[in-house]
Amino acid sequence: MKDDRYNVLAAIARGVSRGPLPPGALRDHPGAGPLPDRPSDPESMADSFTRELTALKGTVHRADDDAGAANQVLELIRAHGATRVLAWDDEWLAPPRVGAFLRDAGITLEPCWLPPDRDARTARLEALDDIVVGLTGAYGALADTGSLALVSGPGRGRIASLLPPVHIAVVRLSQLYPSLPHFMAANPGVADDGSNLVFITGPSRTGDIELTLTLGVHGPGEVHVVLY
Amino acid sequence: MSERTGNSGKWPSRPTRVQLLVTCLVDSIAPRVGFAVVEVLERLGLEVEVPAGQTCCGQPAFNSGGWDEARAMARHLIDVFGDRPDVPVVVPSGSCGDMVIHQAPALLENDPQYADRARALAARTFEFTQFLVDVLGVTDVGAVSEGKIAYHPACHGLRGLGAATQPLALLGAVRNVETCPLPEAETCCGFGGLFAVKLSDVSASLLQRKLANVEASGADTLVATDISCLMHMEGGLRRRGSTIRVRHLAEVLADRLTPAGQQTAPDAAATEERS
Amino acid sequence: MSAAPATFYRRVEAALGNPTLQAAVRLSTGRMVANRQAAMAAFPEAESVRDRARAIRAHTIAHLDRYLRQFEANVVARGGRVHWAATAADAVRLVTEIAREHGVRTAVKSKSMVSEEIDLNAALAQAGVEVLESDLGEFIVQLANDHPSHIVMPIIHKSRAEIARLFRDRLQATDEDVSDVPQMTRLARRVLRAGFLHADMGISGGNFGVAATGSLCITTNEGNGRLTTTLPRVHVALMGIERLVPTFDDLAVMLQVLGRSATGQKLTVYTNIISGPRRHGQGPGAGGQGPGGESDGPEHFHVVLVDNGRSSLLGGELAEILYCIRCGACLNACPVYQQLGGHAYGSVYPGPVGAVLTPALRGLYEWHDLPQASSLCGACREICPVRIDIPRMLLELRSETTRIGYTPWWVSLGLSTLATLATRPRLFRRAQALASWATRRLATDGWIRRMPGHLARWTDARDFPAFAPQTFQQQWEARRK
Repeated sequence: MKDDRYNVLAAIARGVSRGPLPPGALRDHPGAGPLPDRPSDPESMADSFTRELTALKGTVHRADDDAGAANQVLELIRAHGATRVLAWDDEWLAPPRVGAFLRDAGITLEPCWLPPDRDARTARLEALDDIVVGLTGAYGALADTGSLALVSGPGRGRIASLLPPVHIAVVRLSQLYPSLPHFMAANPGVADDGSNLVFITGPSRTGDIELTLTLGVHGPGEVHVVLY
Repeated sequence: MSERTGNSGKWPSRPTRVQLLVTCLVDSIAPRVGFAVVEVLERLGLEVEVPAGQTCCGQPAFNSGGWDEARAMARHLIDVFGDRPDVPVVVPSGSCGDMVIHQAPALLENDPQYADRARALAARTFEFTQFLVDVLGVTDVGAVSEGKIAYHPACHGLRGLGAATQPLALLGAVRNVETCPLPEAETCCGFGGLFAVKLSDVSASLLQRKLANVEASGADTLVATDISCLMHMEGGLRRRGSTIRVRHLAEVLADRLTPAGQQTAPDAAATEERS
Repeated sequence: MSAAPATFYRRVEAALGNPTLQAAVRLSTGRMVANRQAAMAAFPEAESVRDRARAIRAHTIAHLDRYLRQFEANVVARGGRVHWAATAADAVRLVTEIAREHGVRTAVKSKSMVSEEIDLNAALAQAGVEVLESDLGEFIVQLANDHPSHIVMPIIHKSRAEIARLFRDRLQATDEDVSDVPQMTRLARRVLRAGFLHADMGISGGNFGVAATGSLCITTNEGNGRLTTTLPRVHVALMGIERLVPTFDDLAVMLQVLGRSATGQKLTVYTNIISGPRRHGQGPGAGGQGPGGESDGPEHFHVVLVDNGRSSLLGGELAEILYCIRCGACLNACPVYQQLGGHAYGSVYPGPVGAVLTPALRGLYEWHDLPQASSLCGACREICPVRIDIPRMLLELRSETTRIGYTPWWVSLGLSTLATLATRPRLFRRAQALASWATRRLATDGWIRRMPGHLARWTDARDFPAFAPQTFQQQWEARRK
């Protein structure tokens, strides 16, 4: 194995020093480039985010305040007839104490925990498989693509936005970024904040069979964003 | 920009004389196209030279992997056209233009005697429509033609030299013709040089697709700027029993030349200097 | 890469004789090209971002050893492991060993072209590991014991009716299960979800590796890429050594052109960026359960870096093909691919990129027909998000084919004859006169219906023009006198 590493790296080192620079290559890193010119005020970004996500068959629900957002979340959960929700921990959800609010309304919140060892893990996954709604906050959101940015962490499981067929995300207006390059430029240490960063741009989709668009093939077929 | 272009329209002053690279196919199969090019150029006040001893630019060999043969032919071409930095070379073919402008200098890059000469020839070579529009600044050459014309932008002119707008501008200024939009216009006709023989079935299937689009366009005349693609398409149209006429753009531009004495508006347009 | 290239022309014939296949491929590629054009037209920075994307790829390839070392160090620093595979066999052996080390019995896989390249599934099956393809298209390919025919749309060649039949045969689907595409998709989801919940290992490809952070980026629309890299305890990613970018900012540049070029999407639905395995021991446990640290994610993260011929391209005329980001746009834009579909190529990577990559990695001995499968129209170069000059490299490969003597004798003879004549104008003129005499004898009304010899292939589909009685140059000289 050590030999493989040496051999491959040696072959590459020989290769890159062999000829002239390959077409279009610079000695130095070309740099990140200018950030795209996009509206950056919250209302324009909210409009753009809504337009983009709606075009992808996601839904944006605007709320006025914490209470409105919490009510919106509860309504969405009830609209899907759900009593169990796979959710991020309360501290990572935007309306303060929304978890307690939902529990008071009779909703069971399942934490995202997965055991490390095989059999317990499979058992846990099977126990979670019939949950219809997942509830998350967000690390950020991208206005010009209608994307959510989620970072994994303690109490911020990936499976909440992945296993159930319905994903509800609560996003604050202050979390909007004009574009993906803006997000990357503003969060240079994001890889240190969690082992998984995912940009979710609309519901799960496939067009594999005769280009027929079908939603929800593996991931959630419904994405609801409560934005306030 | 990495998209490929021909030479920019920059020329120190309006040229008075050009060398014509007639191309071996026009020379052998369609001399009328050569004369049409000459007529248009002369009408615009240019003196046309046809350097003697022209043969083939080497493109068929180059595209088929015979690079030694292609080099020999490119060197011959350079010798025939000589070292005439003040005289532009005009070529009525996008693919031969691409060969002279882009491929020959690369092929001869390490040839101590010909590398500079290949670059010099490349720098003064222009595809016919780009020469008219970009160098002379002319789109109206005073042509009066006829018919419903579908224009096929041949690939090497379009993507090898960036001749996208020039042929359309020239065609648009021709009096008395109707232009018919061609579906899938920018899809290859399937010629591809020896490709048409080596993978003749694939080539033929692309040809049928192109011809179906030509027929669907409602045109009675098919026009392009490369005689090689045109002879492939004309051969296919004939086999289909089609009556659609096939012409090089130069032929349309040369049509119905109005005698100089009677010329008013078209002539003024035709001799307009590039500003 | 098992198909026998000797049958290249037979495969071409088969594809051309299958109008259903041609219609399906034309429809899909046409739609994707239109989507891509619309997405690029609505992207104000499209051209400058393409330029930057190219510059980033070119720079990375020029300094690949440096970035690979940086990538490796950062993966390891985050608790992942990096394995180096010089060949396909090494890569297969490494994945098998990883599976054995973790006691893996079942694995789920998200789409990976490298895994096709190294023929991983067969080897894992032999080692007793059952592999389930989870991309809907790849799942269907696996059920049908077929091969993908497009690098982004693997079953572009299959009709809904064929897939319905397959689901009945292999999944005991009912009439209702296959009544429409959403129903068929739901059935596949049920089958695959069960596989996901029980799999011990997830196998993925890698769209990009980020050197500065040791991150791996995997994009999927279905979400199977996320499931594969989240649910199983072990995640193994297979990635070609060339798939790096230096930084997250660079990744953002690439992602802006990847989705748009592949399908016309501004971003692929799930752009999944993985920086090491699940992190334990930081922060409180989720909902009070379990120890501290991240709530979920794989316990083990392995990256297998696959060379398999790539390093031999560095510093040479074909290095530019390593800039490729596997968007599939060149397949969609290629008129030859549009007529043939992917299987005719016989290679894992079809289309223009495959016609360069396959002989470049596997050698011209077996694959010298592929660089001929192009009219050199340049549509691939025009559509490529990183502006790879594919026609240039097809020409390089054709030249190499001639140098090693694989060009058909009649082509070689024709070209050397042409060169001999074309460098001797008087001889050339005599040859023209001879050709004129001969073709005019064969022609009726100026056109020939049947040419002799190899040129008969031309006249199978089109008439051939007779030469003019007098060449342009002869007439020109006469006019000057």
